[in-house]
Amino acid sequence: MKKELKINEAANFLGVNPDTLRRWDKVGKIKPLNSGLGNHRKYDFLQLEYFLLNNIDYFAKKWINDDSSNLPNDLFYCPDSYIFQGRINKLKKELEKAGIDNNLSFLILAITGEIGNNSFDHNIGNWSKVVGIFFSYNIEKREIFLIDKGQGIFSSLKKVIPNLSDDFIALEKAFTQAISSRYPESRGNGLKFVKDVVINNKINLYFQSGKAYLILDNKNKEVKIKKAKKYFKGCLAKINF
Amino acid sequence: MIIELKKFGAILNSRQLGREAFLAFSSNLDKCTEAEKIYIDFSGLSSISPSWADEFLVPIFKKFPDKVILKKEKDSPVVFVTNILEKTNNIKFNWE
Repeated sequence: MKKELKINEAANFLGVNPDTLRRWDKVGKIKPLNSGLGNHRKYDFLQLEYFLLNNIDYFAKKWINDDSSNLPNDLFYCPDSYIFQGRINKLKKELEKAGIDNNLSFLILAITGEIGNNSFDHNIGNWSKVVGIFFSYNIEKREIFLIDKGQGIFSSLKKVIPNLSDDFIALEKAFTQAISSRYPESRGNGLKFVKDVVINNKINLYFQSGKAYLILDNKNKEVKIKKAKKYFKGCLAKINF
Repeated sequence: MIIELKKFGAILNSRQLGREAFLAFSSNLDKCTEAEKIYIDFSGLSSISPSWADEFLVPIFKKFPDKVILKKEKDSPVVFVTNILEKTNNIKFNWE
């Protein structure tokens, strides 16, 4: 990638409209190298990367709301579990660098690995629009995002529990009962483990699949499923620590 | 016999990698004598997930329930992993 990008190239890299970049320039959200020179705006590539990683929330929402098969930015996209594993290793280094306690880091890596690998394991051959996951984090903000546009918990569990009625029951079962949707595998412990770790440590989890979501932390130890404002077919997890 | 998990990697996660680790290591288990115990050493690991352990640790434990002994480390978060494995597999690990 070039070091300096024209406005169209920068917009393309961020996955936004050039007008959005012009608007962001006016409000000071992201300034080009030569601010105020109309179409000749140029952007520093490293600055754009930094901007992406500081606004994961915005780009995650944008990708979630995009019904096309567009991929997330390369910085966020893990097309397969091997790339995901590589990025987990990088996360470990970032946690160390930030001075996060070893025991907390151990657990953050374990629950991130469980949620991300669940997406790969449960969607093999069943991805809907995009194969792979959105995985990114900002250590300064203490946040990690894991999103897949797969079949979601309900469709996944319905294969082994045919009378399962909706997203709400499916999400509750996924976090409270040992059921594997990978028939004929008999085990399913990933999200139960995630729950145990989250409610017993200084970690907060938002998890949504379909219309259902839950929030867990050391004050919200019970699995209480709520109705999300917006439907999302796959799985969306945000971890704060 | 001591199985040092750090020799499989610093971060052990995913079923796939746990299964591969078990298959690759299985021949070593056959060398274990009748009286010998199998110690599982978690020291030096940066992380381990229940999915990995379910594919590696649980089959070893099921094959040799009286031989496998987990080496205890003070205040180690690894108990979150072993607890969930015990619950979902209806087993009870032996600790050193």
